[in-house]
Amino acid sequence: MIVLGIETSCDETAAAVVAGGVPGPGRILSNVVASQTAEHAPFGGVVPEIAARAHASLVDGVTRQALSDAGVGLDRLSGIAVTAGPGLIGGVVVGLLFAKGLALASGLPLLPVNHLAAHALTVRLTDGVAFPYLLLLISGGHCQLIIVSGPSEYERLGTTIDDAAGEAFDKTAKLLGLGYPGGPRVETAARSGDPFRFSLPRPLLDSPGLDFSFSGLKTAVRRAAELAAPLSDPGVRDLAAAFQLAVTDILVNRTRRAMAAVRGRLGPTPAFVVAGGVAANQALRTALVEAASLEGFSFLAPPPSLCTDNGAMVAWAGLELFAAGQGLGADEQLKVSPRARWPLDMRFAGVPGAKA
Amino acid sequence: MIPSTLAIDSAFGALSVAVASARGTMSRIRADGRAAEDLGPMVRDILAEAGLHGHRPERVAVTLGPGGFTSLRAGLALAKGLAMGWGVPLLGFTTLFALAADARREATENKPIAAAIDAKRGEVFVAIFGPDLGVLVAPLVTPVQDLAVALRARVAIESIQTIAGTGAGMVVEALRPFGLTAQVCAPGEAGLALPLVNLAAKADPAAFPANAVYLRPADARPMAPTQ
Ligand SMILES: Nc1ncnc2c1ncn2[C@@H]1O[C@H](COP(=O)(O)OP(=O)(O)OP(=O)(O)O)[C@@H](O)[C@H]1O
Ligand SMILES: [Mg+2]
Repeated sequence: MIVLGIETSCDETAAAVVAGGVPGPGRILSNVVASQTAEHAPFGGVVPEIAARAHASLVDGVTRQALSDAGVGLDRLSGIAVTAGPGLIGGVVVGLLFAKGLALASGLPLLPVNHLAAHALTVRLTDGVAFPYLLLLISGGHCQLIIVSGPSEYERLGTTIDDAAGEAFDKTAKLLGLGYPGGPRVETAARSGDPFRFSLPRPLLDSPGLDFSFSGLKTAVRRAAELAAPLSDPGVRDLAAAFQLAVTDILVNRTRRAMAAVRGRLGPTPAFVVAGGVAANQALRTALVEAASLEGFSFLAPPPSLCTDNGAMVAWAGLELFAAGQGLGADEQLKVSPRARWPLDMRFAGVPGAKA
Repeated sequence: MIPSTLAIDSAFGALSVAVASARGTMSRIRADGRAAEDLGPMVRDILAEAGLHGHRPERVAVTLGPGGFTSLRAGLALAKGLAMGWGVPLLGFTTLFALAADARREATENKPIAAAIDAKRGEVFVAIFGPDLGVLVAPLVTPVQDLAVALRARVAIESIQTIAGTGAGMVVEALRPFGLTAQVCAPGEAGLALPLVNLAAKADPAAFPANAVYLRPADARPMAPTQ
């Protein structure tokens, strides 16, 4: 199977061509990402209308590039996968309608993909991991622990009750004047900081359950910064280090708790997977590797370039749906709606506040 | 023989599609449609009815705005995908051009045609075209009270014969003191795809690139990371 994947749900316009079969690994024949980071940087965050405009002008060129890099024409494809949500609706509409046009004109199946499923399934593209596995999804919009049992089967064990992990990094970076995008800037600053000079809380850590909370941490960072004002450069680095350590502690604590709770359901060699842009953080990754080994889980994470938004993960998720016979009929696929919200675990559909 | 052409418009609420070919011209409109869900099926249906050779047109035309940002992008993105999938040229036209093309049906003299769209907040999107639909005043957005100043330098206001679009009433009111005698042209029932489709069939694709026309900057409030 060869599938084209198109991604426009946030601030990357991306397209890729992926070949292979389940359970993977697959082969990435091309992977084009046009990042809009520079357009949004002056606003300290993603501006939805700026993003949607950029997607509308870039989506065809990026797709053409992905096909030509792969040396593949539309006639060689098994299907066209596209992110249909969750995400910024203006961008999702652009990618989805562009893909509908391509599918209608070429007669190919359209494979509408959940963006989070694409993140969740990326380790099958890279490593061919078998279902089921435990996933920690830590991205700009999400922080969840999930059991992944199939391309459309997800059981959410826990989620953030306020900010997403990446959001916490981004807000902290803004607060510390480190700029945008926040995650990598905080990580760089933290590398030469003393994580123990400031003491920050670890919200929810003593509570039962598997949910996360980061907003209290963000408030504590602000308060610490105000108390120490004016914050010197070393002060900024120390506070960044303290923040990163607190996030790491929270994520490790919840993850280990989840591992203990579900180990018996994941077979003799349980696998733990992290995905999403925050998984690019090396300090966090190191801590999660250790946690996995302490709990007897194997550790898998896609390379950083496949952790942030890209078309290859969308193509792969589409390929999984296609292989599982979960594609749509020709009539149905033209009517598919873009979705700002689309929980992986359908038990949470329609729950207020649940982005996903 | 003209190349068979598909035209698509979703810039304001109503969705319309039209096909022109050697067999004639046809169009469909949905007043209450949702662009993301309904435009694709409308295209599929009209192509099936039009019975084109190989079930594909030889070019695609689309409206570029001004209009609703999200809805105009839906049509533009669909058109881009269709054109790429068929490997045919894509031509883009402003909604103001399409309104003028529509109004030309009723024009009796060889005089300029104005197209105007109520842009809300006391502003109007406006453009003026010659009787051949050549651009006399390129699309712009202006507060209604500044309309006369914006237009007077570029066109003789009393020469305008017809005004079309949801902003026509605003323009008439604002320009009457400046000698405007133009007739307001009621919009065609078929939507904007129909007036475009035959023009698009004959136009030079290189002269009509498909880049969205917003006429207004993006509302630059960051959505993340602040909530
Ligand atoms: N090295 C890093 N350390 C910490 N966070 C990072 C790092 N690199 C990136 N991030 C964070 O990852 C997030 C972006 O990840 P990703 O692209 O997966 O999220 P998204 O696509 O915006 O959100 P979602 O997928 O939830 O809709 C940003 O919040 C960014 O700050
Ligand atoms: Mg993402």
